[in-house]
Amino acid sequence: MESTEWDMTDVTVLDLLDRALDKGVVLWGELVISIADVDLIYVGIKAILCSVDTAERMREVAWQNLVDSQRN
Amino acid sequence: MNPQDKETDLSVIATDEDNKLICASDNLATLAESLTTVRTIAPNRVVLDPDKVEQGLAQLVLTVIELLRQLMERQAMRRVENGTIDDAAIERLGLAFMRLDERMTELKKTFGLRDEDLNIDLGPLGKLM
Amino acid sequence: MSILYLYAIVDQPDLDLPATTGIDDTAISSVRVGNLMAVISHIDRDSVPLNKNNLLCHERVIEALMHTRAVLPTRFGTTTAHLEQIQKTLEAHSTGYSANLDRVRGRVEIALRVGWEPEPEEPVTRPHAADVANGYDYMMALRERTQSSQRRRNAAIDLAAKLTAGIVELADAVVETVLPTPQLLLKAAYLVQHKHVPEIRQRIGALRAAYPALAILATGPWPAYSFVEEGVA
Repeated sequence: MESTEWDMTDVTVLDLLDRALDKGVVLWGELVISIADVDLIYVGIKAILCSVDTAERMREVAWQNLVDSQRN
Repeated sequence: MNPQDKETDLSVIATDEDNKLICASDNLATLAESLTTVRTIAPNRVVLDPDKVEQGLAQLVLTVIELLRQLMERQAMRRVENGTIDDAAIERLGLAFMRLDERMTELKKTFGLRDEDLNIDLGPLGKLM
Repeated sequence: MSILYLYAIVDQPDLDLPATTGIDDTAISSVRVGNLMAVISHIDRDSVPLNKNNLLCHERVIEALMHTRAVLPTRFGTTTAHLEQIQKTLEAHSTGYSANLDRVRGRVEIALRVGWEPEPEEPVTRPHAADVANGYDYMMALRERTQSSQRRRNAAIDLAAKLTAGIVELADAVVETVLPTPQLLLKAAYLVQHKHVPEIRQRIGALRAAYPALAILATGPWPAYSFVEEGVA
């Protein structure tokens, strides 16, 4: 992957995403993490890939991973 | 950072997200995976698929066994390093671990599990394997 | 269906809330319990879409709060249907949250990732029963594998320590993982006082020049996401 494909703005957004989805105070019980859609995950990937079909494939993988992970 | 940030002790952050980049070297390719790994969201939402319950259970049990296996191996290695174990005992331990390895391989095959399925993330300790 | 979206837990409940709007342009409000406050807004949905706008909005509210208070950021997407649940949680964990707020007051998080390309080596794989003649050979193969892994790990740990010495010395707390993946030498978060941020920026910038072969990505300052103790929840 070449450095020219990185959009610096998106790098910090991806880093924030990592942080805000994985860390921060978690309140269990009645307060649930309630998130819809997987847009941001493949939008982030889209930002650093050049070809549209690769992005489409990543989108499918993202969805499949999410579905698979629900097994756990 | 904005000049007014210096006024208050607690006023610490510029709200413009563009200012959040402190340093980025040119060769970020190796970091690509860590930034774009698709992660599980809603970790506390559990979907119970009746067809998958057995596999899920097997995955859980085998992950625990894998963890124990690694702990036992580590302990055995320490003894081998310390020299507090004779060759005959090494042979017996080796056979036991070999049998365990064969069993694990069979069980993984039976339940359609790959090594990666047992590779849980232990957080600060890294991944299991 | 309407829900309450939670942004952060903060101190100084008597201070005015910032003018920032929340997710879906909703007004932010609060739930107070003693000296603690949960900052929320009422959202007209049953779940929150994970997109760039909402993520940045979540972050903006938290950062606006940080101008005048100590803030414990919540994980993105934290919601509840019942206000009483927030009150109960604040009551139940008030000591813990207060202690946490003390820990992060006036401090920010700096994030660091360092990627590398380690010298290509034989992949360290587990020996399999089928590959060896007897138990003794198996143990020796296992031993070689362990030593080899350990050597690599030690080299990585040493390098990471060298790299980050200048940053760690300015930090009040550190969360570091060495080699979370083979390509990622280090993933770390540092809790630092506001006043040290300019110096840290310089030191990280200097790293880039000192280690041209490494991929270095540092971002921040962020709210202290990585330093809210899990035990409290």
